[in-house]
Amino acid sequence: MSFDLPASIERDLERYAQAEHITPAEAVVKFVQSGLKSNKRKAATSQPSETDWDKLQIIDPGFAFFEKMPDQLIDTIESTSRRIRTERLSARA
Amino acid sequence: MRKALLDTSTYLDLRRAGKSRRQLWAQNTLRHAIAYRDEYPKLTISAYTVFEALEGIYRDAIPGADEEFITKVLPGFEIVYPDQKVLALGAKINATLAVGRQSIGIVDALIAATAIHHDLTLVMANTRHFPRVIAAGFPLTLTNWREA
Repeated sequence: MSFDLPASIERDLERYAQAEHITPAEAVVKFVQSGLKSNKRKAATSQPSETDWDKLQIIDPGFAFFEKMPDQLIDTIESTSRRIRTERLSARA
Repeated sequence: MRKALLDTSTYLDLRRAGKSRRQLWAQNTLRHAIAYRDEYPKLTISAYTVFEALEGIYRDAIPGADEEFITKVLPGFEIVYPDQKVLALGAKINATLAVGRQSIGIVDALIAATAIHHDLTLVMANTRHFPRVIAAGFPLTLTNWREA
């Protein structure tokens, strides 16, 4: 890949490369990597929209069922699951 | 994205995510679930998750809830039931971990076996138990939807 950079950016990159004692090509790579990382962080921290949350109704087959159940049912299922998974079988007499 | 087996902990996270919208784990869980459902028509759970959900329903003794859960909710999932090969692999995992004093319990061993046998990524929030299966040399693939 090759790119044409605006002259002003090219000058900034050369100055940065000199200051960091790296080649201009390495400076370009550093800037691109930094930009991509920042973009990834932004994507990871952006909050889902209302439309996204509404999708839970489609994604979860139990959505309508659990919505009309008491909230404690989910807690009961969770504690049941935890108990089942920590049960140890004991030898029969 | 590989097809996934949702453990009970992740399904419960999905249930609670809507009421915890400000929490990062809830947002991450939602994002993963949306991305997954874009590729796969149904969420896949194991028979053990069905068992745990039904036991919870019976413990709370909500009239008619068991029938509605069985007839209206469960058909919306793909459910993986254990067969002889899963039971054998589960026994092998359980024995290997027990000998190494790293037991994770029979149910978790069977869930790990289900994921391995059916070539599914196990999606779980129990980060304490399942990594032991991998450490013991079994080809289990794990992911946690709470993380980005």
